[in-house]
Amino acid sequence: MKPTVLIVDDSSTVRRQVGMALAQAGYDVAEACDGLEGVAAVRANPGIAVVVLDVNMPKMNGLEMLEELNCGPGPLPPVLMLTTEGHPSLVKRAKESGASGWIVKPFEPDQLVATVDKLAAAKA
Amino acid sequence: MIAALRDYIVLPEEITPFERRYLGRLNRVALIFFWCHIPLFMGVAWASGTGPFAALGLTLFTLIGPTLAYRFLDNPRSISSVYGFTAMCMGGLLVHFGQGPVQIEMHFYFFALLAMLCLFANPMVNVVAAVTVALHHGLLWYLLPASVFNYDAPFWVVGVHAIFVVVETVACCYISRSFFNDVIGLEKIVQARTAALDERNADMQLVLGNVAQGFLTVDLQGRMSAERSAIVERWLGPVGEEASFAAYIGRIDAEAAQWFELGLESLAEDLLPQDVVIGQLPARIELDGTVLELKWSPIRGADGALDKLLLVISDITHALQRERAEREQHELMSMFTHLVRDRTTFLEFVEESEGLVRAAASAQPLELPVLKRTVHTLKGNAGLFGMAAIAECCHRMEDEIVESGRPPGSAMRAELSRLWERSRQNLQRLLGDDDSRGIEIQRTDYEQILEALDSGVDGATLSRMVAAWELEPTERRLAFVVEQAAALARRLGKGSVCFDAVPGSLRLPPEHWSSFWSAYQHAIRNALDHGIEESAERIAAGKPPHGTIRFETRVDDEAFVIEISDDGRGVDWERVAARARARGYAADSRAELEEALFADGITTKDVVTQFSGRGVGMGALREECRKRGGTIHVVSDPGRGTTVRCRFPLEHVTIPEGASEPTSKARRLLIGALHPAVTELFTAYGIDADFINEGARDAYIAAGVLRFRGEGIDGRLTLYATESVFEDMRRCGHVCESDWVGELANQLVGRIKLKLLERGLDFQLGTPVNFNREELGSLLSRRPPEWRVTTGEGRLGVHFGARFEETFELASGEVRSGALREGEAVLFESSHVEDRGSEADRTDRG
Repeated sequence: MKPTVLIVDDSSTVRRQVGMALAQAGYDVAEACDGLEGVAAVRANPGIAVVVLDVNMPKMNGLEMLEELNCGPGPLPPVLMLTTEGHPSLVKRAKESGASGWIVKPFEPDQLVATVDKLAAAKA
Repeated sequence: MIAALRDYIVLPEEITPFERRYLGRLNRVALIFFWCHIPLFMGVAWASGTGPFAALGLTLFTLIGPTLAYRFLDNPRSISSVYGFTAMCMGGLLVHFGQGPVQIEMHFYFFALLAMLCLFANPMVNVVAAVTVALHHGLLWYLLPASVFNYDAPFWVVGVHAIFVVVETVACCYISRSFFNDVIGLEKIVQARTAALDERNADMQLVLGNVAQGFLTVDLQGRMSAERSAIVERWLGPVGEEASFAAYIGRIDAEAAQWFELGLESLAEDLLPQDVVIGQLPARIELDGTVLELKWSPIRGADGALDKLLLVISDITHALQRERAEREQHELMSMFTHLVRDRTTFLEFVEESEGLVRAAASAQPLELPVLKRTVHTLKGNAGLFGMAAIAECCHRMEDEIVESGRPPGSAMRAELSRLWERSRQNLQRLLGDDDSRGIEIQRTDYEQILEALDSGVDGATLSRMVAAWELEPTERRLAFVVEQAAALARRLGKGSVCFDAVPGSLRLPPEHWSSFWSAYQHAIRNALDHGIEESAERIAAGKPPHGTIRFETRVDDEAFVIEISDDGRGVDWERVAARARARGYAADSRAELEEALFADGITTKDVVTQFSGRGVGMGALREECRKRGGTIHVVSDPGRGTTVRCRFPLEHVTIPEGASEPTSKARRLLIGALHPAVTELFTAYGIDADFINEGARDAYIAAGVLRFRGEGIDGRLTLYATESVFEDMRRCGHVCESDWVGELANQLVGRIKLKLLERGLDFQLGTPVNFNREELGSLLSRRPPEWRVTTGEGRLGVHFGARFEETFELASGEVRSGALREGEAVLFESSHVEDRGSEADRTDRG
């Protein structure tokens, strides 16, 4: 069975780009538009291999989503944050909340896939 | 030869501390060794009957020399040389006291001692010993032969002994010298090597001290190496004791330091690929106008594991400045070219862009969709006129808006203002003091007027002809459009696309149309980027390999039409529907899909390029159409192409003398909803109009295109219109936002007249339009006597005093039953409205 990667981003462009890159690399891709949907998706599917998570989102942002997941039952899957160049403090907070790493936008699809590969392998 | 021999036997003068310590120790041991001979020699003398006490006495006498030397000589090598002599004396004493049958064997001791003297690592000691033993043998053979030989040995025997001694001494000298050179002198060797290394290090330091790039390594604990180029500290200040890189750059750029720390932490965790983490280490820092570029590379140990990071820091300030200067130069050239080629258009662009920049960079940001459109339009304009820096800045602003969902930060807005200001200054240089707009006359115009004068045409015609000079021939405009399109095609790598321009003989007032043309490029971009397929795809579809885009301006029975059509793949309506639904727009009917096509954020493109794909351009174009009372339609034939058709009322265009007049001046006004009956009605009338339904209306309101302004008639009439319509009306004194209900009739009819007679704008009242004819009639009847409304079966008459009277057919017979029920819609249609706008306007105000 192909491992599933959940992409949580309010930008459909980013979801599409990330999703295409990962699908080509052999992943099943699930999408969520905000943190609330993201939390629901993670809880509904404990087998998710990696979560690719945007920071800025409506309703519930990426950091809040991480905190919410930490409060809930079940282990936190590896989380890869998508961030812009300007905000190291957000990444710091995300890492404190259990994120495994981050990728600065804009990124090369190859980089993203290599990173997801490594995180997924570590989880497996 | 002799000198070489001497240099070999005599050691260099300098005695290293190591040699001094070694010889000191050895000389002490040797002296003890010599003193130990006393009992040995007494024993041998006793056994050989040569007198133990004589042995004691002679040995003690012999020991005086070495003991005094050990006690008083400073030079340990001199002591060793004395010992060379002493050793051979000891050999002589043993041979002397060992007289008897083994006296000859006692000679072995000479050879043993000769060999042992090599321990002093000094060939001179060996030579002293050899000379001593030679003298000893020679003298005693002559004076006291029994002391040496136990038989009557001839002198040549002494020679044989000497030969052995010489052979051994030669070997011993070699051993001693080698011992000295390679072991005792080791310290000197090390010193020499160290000195050589120091020299090389000094060279390296010289390089590091003078190189213009910063080189250093940083270990995985974040500590900087001590070896680094001096310029690092010149740039970034002195490195503290702890040499922490994060603390070091943190003084200049706290964010960069944080990124570095995060990166190190991540490398230690080993959860992300190392290349990814290293690629995300801080890449640039700025201080006092200097921009430093940081390049990181991994340094791996023998086992391939990451050992440390190599950091190369370069000052790229000048490179950036040069790049900027080159770009400015390029932009200046581009401005100059545009200015020379088409001054009017370029100045229009500047004027329009000025407003756009002001709006986009304002501290009170526009609503997000409007801002997005503004920035998008500005980007397109700037790109077309070669202002790459501004276009690129707009692209980044768009990214930021999409990314953060907020207006761009102040730094970015300030950057845009700065870039624009610079371009303006450059433009000012090009323009000099004269930025007034002259009227450019085409040669054909000039020739025409000469011809007209020659043929004696009347003054009114001449006046019209001259008045038309101020207007821009669509021929010229379309030529420019083609040029823009060709440039864009080149930038998009679209290979050869054919462009056809069919301008007709029309003229437009340039100021009035400038913002339309700048929005029009979105349609060009769409056609190029979305419409025209790659050659291979076209060939596979049985089309010519080169796409064609056709630009046309014409008068089409009742309207002025600007059209762009391509022979590309057509609009992918399924994709539009999917995108529209994903964004919460309705996308069931074709009309809704068309709506969606113009809505912000809908694009069928998967990749956002600098040129298109953000889905905001078509909305901007429609906005521009609406501002001029026009409509826009997309007609798409899947696989065969797309036509974007903009239709405008005729007063926006001038048809030069001699060109054919349009056959009909019918105009239309739509108040209504997308009720099936209304749709039918339009079809029956052949009306080309925008529809609006609830879903699209909400989307438009959300996007800021359409505004809700109030409810009338007991809350059952709800009005929506574009902001520009409201603005037009407000400007003409027709809209009072706070008291909508009381002013409804005035506004409604005023707007009808305004739009019909003055502006020719279409506008819509959104659903639901809950009113019936009686109510509308009585409402309108309460207005001043300049006009009145009559309603009858299937008819609605609107009478505007004596100046203008019109009966609007509400519907044709077949629609009557469907269209005119309460709660539905009313359509006004006139086939011959005359232009009395100004009078009507005054009536309203009265």
